Amino acid sequence: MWTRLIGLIAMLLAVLLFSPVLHAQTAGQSQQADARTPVPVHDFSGVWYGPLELNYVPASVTMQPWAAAKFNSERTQYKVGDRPFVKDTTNTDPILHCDPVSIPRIYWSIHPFEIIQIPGRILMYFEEFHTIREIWMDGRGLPKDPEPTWLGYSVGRWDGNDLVIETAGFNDKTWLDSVGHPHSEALHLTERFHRVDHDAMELTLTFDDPKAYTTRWSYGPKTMKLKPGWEIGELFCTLEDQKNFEKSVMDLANKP
Amino acid sequence: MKSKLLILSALLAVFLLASVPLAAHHGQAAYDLTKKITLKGTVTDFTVSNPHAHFSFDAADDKGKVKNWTMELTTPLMLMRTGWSRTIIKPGDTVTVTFYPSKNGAGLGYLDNVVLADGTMLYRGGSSHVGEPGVAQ
Repeated sequence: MWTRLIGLIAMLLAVLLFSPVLHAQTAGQSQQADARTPVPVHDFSGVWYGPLELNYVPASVTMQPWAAAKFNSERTQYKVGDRPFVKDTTNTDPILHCDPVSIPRIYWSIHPFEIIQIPGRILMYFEEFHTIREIWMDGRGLPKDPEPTWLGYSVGRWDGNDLVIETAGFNDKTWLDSVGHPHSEALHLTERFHRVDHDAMELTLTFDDPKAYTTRWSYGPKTMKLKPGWEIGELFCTLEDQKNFEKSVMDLANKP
Repeated sequence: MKSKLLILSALLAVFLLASVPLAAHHGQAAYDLTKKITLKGTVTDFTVSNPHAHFSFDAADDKGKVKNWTMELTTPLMLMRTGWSRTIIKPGDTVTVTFYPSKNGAGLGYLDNVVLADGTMLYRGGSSHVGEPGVAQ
């Protein structure tokens, strides 16, 4: 009797050890797949987390005179060159009064984003300001004279296993980064996503904005990590929250 | 699970200490990152709200004079990903707080860590980018 019971328990344990359920739970706990996990092809679905980048425009990139003047007149929380930092309401960063965060600045925030693939489209669901971005994957081209919008108009295609996204039709109200690098409505942005392995992808950005910059320039590749256990939470920017934060924290920082 | 969280928090802290920049939109330029203060006190407020959460506490100085301090944290969503909860600290709790003080001498600081009465240590959270591949240290 006892021998049979012990045998049964041993069998149950063996089944559990090799069962997909337990395997999935373990993978969930470690939150990373092992090196043998196949790399998905033409599938970037999942929650991704990139590095924090505040000022990423290379020093070798020259702005057109109006853009340089605009950049130098901005007031941000980061000291750049001779430009001092501010931590008060004179800050000119558009996101502090809840303007949408630009593509690509939104990639370099401290918040993750999710890639959702549906027929004919890829959706990017950014935690930062609860932002949804639509990328058309049905073979259409960019519109000839797009109406300027915060996130622009995006079309994507597969180049081998890479995902390449072209975007035009941005308005000129957003910054490219947290220190105030501007852009014009002529900005044409190319994003190339390259899957390195199951848990990582690289993003390379190419900026073509002759009205604001004297040369076409690229940034990257920058690595983003898959975060299997993460869910995108709700993070709306509200003016009331901003005002309360000013009162309880920023006002203290601004005391003489 | 708890010990894993603690190890993760400790690792994060090491990366945080070794790195600038530390924060997202709200920057840390107002704080003196070369100076760290540790004070024991009583929590008076914990506000879990965007853009950044913060808590306040009363602490007495050497002469017994009580001062209220406010600690800036990161966004609520990132805090929850690094072991915090909305109720993990509450008014009346005794805490030991280590922080970077504001440069202007106001009762304001950028939290490094807070130790709760039961010994749990929590970090400011939110900068788990730091130490990941591709991050400028």
